[in-house]
Amino acid sequence: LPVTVFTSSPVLPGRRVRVLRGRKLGTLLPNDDAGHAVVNVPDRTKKAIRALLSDVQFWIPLAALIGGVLVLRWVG
Amino acid sequence: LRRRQLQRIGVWSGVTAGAWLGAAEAPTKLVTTGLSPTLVSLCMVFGVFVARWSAPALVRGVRAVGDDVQQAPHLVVWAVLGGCLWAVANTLTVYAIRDVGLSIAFPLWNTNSVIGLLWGVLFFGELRGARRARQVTVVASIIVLFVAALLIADASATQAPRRDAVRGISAALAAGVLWGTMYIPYRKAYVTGMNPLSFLTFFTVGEVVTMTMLALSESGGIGSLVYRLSVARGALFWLALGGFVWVIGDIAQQYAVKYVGISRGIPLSNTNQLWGLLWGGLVFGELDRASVAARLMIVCGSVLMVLAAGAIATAATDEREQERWDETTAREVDRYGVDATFARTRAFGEESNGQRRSWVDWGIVAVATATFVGLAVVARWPPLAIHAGWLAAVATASIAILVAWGFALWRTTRFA
Repeated sequence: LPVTVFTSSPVLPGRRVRVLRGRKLGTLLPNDDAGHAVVNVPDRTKKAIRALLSDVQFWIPLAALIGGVLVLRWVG
Repeated sequence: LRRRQLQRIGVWSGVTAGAWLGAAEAPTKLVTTGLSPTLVSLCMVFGVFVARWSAPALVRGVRAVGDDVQQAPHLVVWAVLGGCLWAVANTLTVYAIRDVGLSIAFPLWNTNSVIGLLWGVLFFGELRGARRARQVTVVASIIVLFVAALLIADASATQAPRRDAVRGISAALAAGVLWGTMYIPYRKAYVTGMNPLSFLTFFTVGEVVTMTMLALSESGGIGSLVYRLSVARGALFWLALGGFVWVIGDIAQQYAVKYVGISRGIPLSNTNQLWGLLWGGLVFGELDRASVAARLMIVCGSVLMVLAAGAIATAATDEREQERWDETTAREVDRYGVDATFARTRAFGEESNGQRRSWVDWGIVAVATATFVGLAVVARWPPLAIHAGWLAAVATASIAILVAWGFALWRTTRFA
């Protein structure tokens, strides 16, 4: 997600920078036509959800939880 | 040198966890009302919730928690999932005690360390690459701890009437599996650099939501639930206090998992049975009528437990095992897009601690304090004989361990 930002000091394209609002990390792209700095802020939410769902370690606790609730309903 | 310092603090965290998780049993012994297992668990979780929000606010400040989440937002999901697992497992243990008694149930759910060991080796590179002697020491110590738990539980438990063996054993085993699996989210958080206090703030949301749903489902509605709780209001303070004390132990347990891993941290925390025995036997006089044979078994079990915990404490990770830990961290950083520097510095127990407490932090602490004072005002002191001298001695020892650990943790990591 490229966003345009104003910087108080010059920075080199390609460097990772911290955008103050939201404190997100992004990579600086070449300046736009007006000379403003452009930062590519990756969409971490979508990436994180994809990483979570494809992580086998996520499904094991989830399966254990479902199994535990079923046992609880049986013994309760 | 830094690794050795962190190892030491991890071992100490495990020992402190054992003391305070064991002490958590003491307030619940004062409860004599006929609350159902689910409601007992709900009341404890209420105390847990209050403690889990107030402790991080006091120690680090809510803003620091927010900063952590910015760095690794996916861990919120893992924390809530871990909390759900804890809540269900805790309720299962209450049913297990009801159905087969503590002597059978306790060792069965203590198999959580074996399950944790399995996940630690499979997913987090624990014990892999370590010298054979260290691998054997850790595994053998876990087996010895299990045997010691059997001995102590069998000799010390009051033999409750057994209602349903199959259901009780199933509940205890399921609790062991859930508590063992709960360490996947724990470890996941700490290899990625999350501060234990931040992790617990979200962990408790899973706990309280799960327990509320279970209690509502059992009670048949909010009106009925509130009525049952109001009837038992004299006991709420003791259960919430049990939850509060338990949280202190769990915070220490989290640091143990962070700095020595699941395979070593959990067996050390499981020495809580020894502390539970001290509280029950010395303070509440539960062993006053125990036979000589039973006392002998308790002494043997306790000695075995101390020896096994000592062996685990000395089986520190070596260079090759640490490399596997670093590989796990690199994998998580890559998968979830976490800043590698953040993960690495946090794994080494280094973080800036320049956050000032805000009015929000003090507000949370004030509400937590007021809640406990309010519950204490309506609490009933049950007619129970307590050995005041032993109470002072065991409580002083527990507090001394906590203060010494807290100071060492602050000096070494600034609570990172």
